[in-house]
Amino acid sequence: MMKAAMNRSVTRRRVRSAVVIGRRQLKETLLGAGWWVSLTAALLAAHFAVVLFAGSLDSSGFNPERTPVAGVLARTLTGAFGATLVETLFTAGPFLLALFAAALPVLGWLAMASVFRFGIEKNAGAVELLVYGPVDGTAYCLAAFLRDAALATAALAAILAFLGIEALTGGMILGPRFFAALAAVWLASLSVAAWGILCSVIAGGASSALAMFAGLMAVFLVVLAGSFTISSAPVRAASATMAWVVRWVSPVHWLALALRSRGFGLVGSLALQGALAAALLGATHLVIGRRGVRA
Amino acid sequence: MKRFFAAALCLMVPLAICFADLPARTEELAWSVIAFNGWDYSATLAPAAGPTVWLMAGVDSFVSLRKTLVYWWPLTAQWMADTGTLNVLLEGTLEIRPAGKSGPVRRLELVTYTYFSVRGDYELNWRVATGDEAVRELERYRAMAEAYLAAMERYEQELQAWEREQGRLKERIGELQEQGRDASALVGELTRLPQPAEPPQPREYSMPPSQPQRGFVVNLPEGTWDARLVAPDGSAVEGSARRIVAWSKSRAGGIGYELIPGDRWTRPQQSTTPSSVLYVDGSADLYVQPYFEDEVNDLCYEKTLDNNGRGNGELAKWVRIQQVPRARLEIRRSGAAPEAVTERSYVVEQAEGASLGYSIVPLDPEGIHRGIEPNLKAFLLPLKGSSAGMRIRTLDENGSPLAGSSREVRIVRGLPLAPLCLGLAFVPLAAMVVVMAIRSRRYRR
Repeated sequence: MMKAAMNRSVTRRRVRSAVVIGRRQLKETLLGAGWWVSLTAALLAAHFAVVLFAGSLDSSGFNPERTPVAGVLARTLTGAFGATLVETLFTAGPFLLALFAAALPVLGWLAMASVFRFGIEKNAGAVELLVYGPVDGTAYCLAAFLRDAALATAALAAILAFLGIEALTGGMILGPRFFAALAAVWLASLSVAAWGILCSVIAGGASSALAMFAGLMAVFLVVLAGSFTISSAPVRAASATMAWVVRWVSPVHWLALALRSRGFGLVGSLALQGALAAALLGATHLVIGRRGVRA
Repeated sequence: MKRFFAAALCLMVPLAICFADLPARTEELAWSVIAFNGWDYSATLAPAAGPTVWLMAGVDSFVSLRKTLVYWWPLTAQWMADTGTLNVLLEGTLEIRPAGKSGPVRRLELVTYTYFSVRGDYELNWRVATGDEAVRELERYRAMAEAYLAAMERYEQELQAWEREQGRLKERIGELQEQGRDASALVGELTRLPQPAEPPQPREYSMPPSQPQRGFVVNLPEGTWDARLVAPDGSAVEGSARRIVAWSKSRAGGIGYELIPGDRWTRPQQSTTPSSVLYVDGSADLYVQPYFEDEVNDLCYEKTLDNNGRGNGELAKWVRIQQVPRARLEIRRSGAAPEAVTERSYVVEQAEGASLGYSIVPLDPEGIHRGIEPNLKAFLLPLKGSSAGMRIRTLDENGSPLAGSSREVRIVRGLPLAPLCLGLAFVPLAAMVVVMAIRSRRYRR
């Protein structure tokens, strides 16, 4: 009884510390230029995706051959991943593609910056210093996660608002799959953030954490791209078993699964994405408990 | 002269390497497959290099194992069979068992089969006949075809006799008129001369029965199966083992649309995703044809069509199955009552003179288009010059909307407010400048 009460008190203190530190880190991020520049890049990418789509419309619908850029893009994607993927991406309107084009730069920057910053602070002994106070390593990791989650939410809200304006002024609609895709991207960004924090905790310094994180994300993307590659056989190369294992911990796998699911399948894949983020945070808690916060 | 020939020979010898090389043919046991793909039968070959055969689950497909010459054709990147040189059907029993687990072994015997499509509600209504029934079906078709040919022969003879009689009467009328005599009796006879009627074509089959062939009729539940041929002496035939993947469609009964733009009627596009948005620029009217569609795995479907095919095992796609019979199209515009459109036949008329172009006009079967077959049967969506979007859906013969048939049609003619949106994209950058300015002013203090 006494132990349970103590645990509750520790958890409450941890959450409170995490919120306070997270708020401070959020403010620091907003004072820098990186966040705003990456958000601008995201909105520009979204805008050009919509303009490209509108410029490629003809009397029977989307015809990528009408604009050279869309033609090259469609041919490249068709060659690598087949016509079915291109149809899925383009034919229901520009907003699914615009969402991905926008989310990639801003969420990518956010994850990279978070990993690097955590590593720098750890190297400088800032985290260790904090831990001497009322904060522990888990609370600090949670704070970083909360900051990332808040910034990802803000970025996606800005992208949603921007695409909403694009749709309204262009006589278009966001489409029935857009909001499911938005939720899937948001949850994927949480998993990616959780991976970033875990890499920061495991690695010795900022550069190694960044390298580990970038390598891991590259593996996830390569495995995903491999699964989408058109082939003449159901089993893709000898790495199929490894790919099968990797996909369980890959945020992009659950994102892709959510995008092509519907009904219970969609809800299930979103829930599993959330579970992955929670499991990664749990792993971070265990690792930081064993290793400490010293670089 | 000798020098000339020597020089020519020296020049021509290196050219020998430029001549085409025949691909090496190897004798092997290949599976000849006629697979049902959901709407049609497609023939493909599974040589030893393609050890998996893809079949749709729960439907009849046909398999025969043949000794033939197989070669790789690099131009189309396909395995081909030289059945003209060697084509020997192997006798025996096809044993099929579940792959990787124990289960009852299915043993299939060679049967004579034929497949054909009869006319009905749909474009294709496939039937399969085996054994004596197959032979009877083919005899029935032959009898029908022979009766039609005989009727056509009779018609040709009657037509020739009619033309001869017409010619004779016209000649006689001409003679009488030259002599200034009354020819009205002969003119009356000429107008009353009955023209023989062309016999109607047999309409029972939309695709006549195929030549009876011998093979195994394979109809498996969904799953992976191992198959091999067992010779009449009980031994397994070497090289006959194949894996069979029996796949099912993931969804059925969706509604897709064939979209035929009025300005490019030979280049139709498809709207396959149910309840999706259809964007057009509104520069021409659209002619739409609704059809039933099924959702299938891309790789499974492509491999069923052609064993050399490539696909994406992770993606599903919609494929056209049949047209929707006796359908109507409902158009809803904002602020207006729904309007039901019926299917009409259209004729494409080429522009007169040297200029290129055409126009699509409704078929007038009793007037100027008498005897002309329509080029197009579709529902007209009048979009040309319109800027308002609409919502369409397909109604069945009872007037009930078909699930998944709804489409939002949006007309987008460029983005006139694109510069405004481009400016909005720079708002975060402006916010950054403001934040930094405030910060630097605060530090300066």
